[in-house]
Amino acid sequence: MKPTTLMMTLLGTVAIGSMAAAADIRIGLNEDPDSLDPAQSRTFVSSLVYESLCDRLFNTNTDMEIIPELATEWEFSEDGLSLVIQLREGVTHHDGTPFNAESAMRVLERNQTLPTSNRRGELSSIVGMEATGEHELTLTLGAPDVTLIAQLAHHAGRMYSPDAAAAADESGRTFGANPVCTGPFKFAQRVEGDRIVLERFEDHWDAENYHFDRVIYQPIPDTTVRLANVRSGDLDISERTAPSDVPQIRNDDRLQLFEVPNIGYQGITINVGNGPRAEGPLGSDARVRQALSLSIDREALNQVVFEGQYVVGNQWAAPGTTWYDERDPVPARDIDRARELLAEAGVELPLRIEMQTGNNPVAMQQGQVIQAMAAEAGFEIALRATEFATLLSENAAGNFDMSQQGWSGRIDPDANIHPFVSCEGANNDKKYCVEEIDRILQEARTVPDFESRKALYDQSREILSQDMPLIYLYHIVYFYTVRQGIEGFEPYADGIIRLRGVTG
Amino acid sequence: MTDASLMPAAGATALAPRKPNRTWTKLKKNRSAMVGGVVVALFVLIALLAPLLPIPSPSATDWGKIRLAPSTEHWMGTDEIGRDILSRMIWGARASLMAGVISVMIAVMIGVPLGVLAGYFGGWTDQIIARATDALLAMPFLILAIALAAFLGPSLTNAMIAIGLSAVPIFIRLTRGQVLSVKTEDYVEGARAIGLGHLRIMSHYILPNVFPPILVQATLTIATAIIAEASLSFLGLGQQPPLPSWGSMLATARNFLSQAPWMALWPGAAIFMVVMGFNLLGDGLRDALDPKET
Repeated sequence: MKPTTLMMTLLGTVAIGSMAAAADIRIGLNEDPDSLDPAQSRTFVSSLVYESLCDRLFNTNTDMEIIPELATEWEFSEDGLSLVIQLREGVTHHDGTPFNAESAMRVLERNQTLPTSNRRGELSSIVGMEATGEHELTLTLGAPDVTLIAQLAHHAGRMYSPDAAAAADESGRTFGANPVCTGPFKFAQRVEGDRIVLERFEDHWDAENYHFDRVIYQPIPDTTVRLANVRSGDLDISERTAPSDVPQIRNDDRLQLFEVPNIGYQGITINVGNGPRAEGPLGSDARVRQALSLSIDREALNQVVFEGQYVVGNQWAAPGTTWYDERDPVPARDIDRARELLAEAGVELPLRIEMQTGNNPVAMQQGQVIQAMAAEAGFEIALRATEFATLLSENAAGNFDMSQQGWSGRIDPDANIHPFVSCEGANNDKKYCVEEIDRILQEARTVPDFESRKALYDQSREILSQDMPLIYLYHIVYFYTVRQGIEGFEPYADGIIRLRGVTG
Repeated sequence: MTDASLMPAAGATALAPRKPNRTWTKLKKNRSAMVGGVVVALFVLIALLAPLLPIPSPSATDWGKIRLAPSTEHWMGTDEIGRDILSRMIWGARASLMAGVISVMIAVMIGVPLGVLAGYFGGWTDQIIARATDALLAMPFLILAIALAAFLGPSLTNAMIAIGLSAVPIFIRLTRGQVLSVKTEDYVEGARAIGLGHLRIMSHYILPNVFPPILVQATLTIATAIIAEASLSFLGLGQQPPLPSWGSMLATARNFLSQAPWMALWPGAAIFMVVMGFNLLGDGLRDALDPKET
């Protein structure tokens, strides 16, 4: 090869290489998502991936109001027992099959009936479905369900190819390993724990508003490493930046910082009924759980671990928000009362319990602060750090005393409480089951009027703050670090990263 | 260190009273070995005195003093949840040294007898032990230790067991090699000729003569074991919070490298120094125990 030819070839390669790189967007995730089957997912990070992979019937705007996505119009009947949804025309799945009322119906049916589905509770009000037109879907409800639209604006309403899912289910393959959906990007590759690669889907109905050829999601649990990757340009966006890094990012010209208060909560889930590990004093005696809650100084926790940037809490709703019950303010730390409660419960001290926690540094730091605080009341907490998907599966198996985790939050209150404390709740790994709670929450699903609905949630709160199967601690503020040069990024309170209109 | 020619001379003089003095004299002359020895002795002393020193508890937190830089009140600063780093360093030294010494003791106590058996009896005994050793040596030391520690469950004790077991093959192979050369010596033949039992020959005639290289290897392995413990703790498989270990301190400090670099500086420097100390000491011992060098 002549030197000039060689030079040209090299230059060409470099040019092509940089062109390819310019059209990729790399997003750093705090955890590796669980299954990428919308029927099964239960992690928050999976919604970040879905947002590019699988369109949903409804979406939300920055004010967390419902907006159309694959559903263009919708209307409830007078009695609230039927919902007619008009679907978007000209939408195709990634396998080329058309999206219509028929396919949407099959997806919802699968979400309702698949044995491993985590969507069944969310869609339980639907008793009948019919394709009343090529693009008109009519849902019949067993009882009025004011939460339904919000459910369809999340995992339960993510639309995938029913043919591909059925083929996978029948042959025993995992649909989540190779999901076929409707979103602006299609699934290309997943290396567990390393990356999920999506490629541009040219036939997407809104393709013109998406400006990247590939989206690469990289789970990097270590916040410092994730941040370093944005600094070095290896990542374009990093979600959930550690609050301790926030002051530095504000002073770094290479980076942009975005923040938004989250609608979810963080806390400690206690095993109160799932197998033999629920039988200890912590699982069987509410006073012990109350003592644990009282031993924790939420304000100090917020200051120490989160630089005071988060919002302390004691309910699933954050103080000052619509659904918060003002009659039950965030309790101050009360070690004496905690000791009294433990004495009343007749517990032998120190009480040894194990707390599962995510294996990221912030979770570990938080775990150690709680460990130190609770020690003063007489708890001897051993920390067990596991990777997040393992934590969830161990919780489901009842292999935990308590576990440090939270909920990313949904726009309708039902989804923030029902799955966690109702007897058959999809996320009720602690197996808390009280008839009264089930009744109240069920009723709250049918009441459209805000005041009466809130009264019901307040009623459930009274029971829950006595039983305390969940100790609520604080509410996150989502911080995003974005490389300078990325334009059009907007943070949403649900934490989900939307790439529509983002360029770079 | 596995120099076979070392053995005849060492064997001939093994029990003579003159030899330890000669080793000591040689060791004393070796300046770097003495530096190593002093560093190690210093850390051992600090670790032993930890409960008596006027320092706060390594787990005592102070929410008002998060990540403070070194000051007269906190000589090494405070960590991410307001604990005194100096105190954690001192108690961490206990964890590190204990892990180093105990895991090597485990390795020696299992590895040396197996090595002696393999070398002395040969045949099938040797085949089984030596092949098993080869199989274990095929796996990198740290990978094996991580796998074992993950299997046993995270705790300092389990980390020590895991490191100890991972170091066993090194001692089997070393001992076996030494025994192979020693057992053909005339004095072993002599012992056998006067009708001594296998056990007595192994314990009184062979073991003392293979001991020096094992001592050297043990000293050097302590250094490796300390790094292994730090690595396991770094990964969360060693010392469990709130108890301190240099490795887990480093793991936490990594998140605050730009805000609080001292959090990483101290444990990093301590691991470096103590490992260097053991290495220098081990090298010095090897030279001192080598009869060829004067």
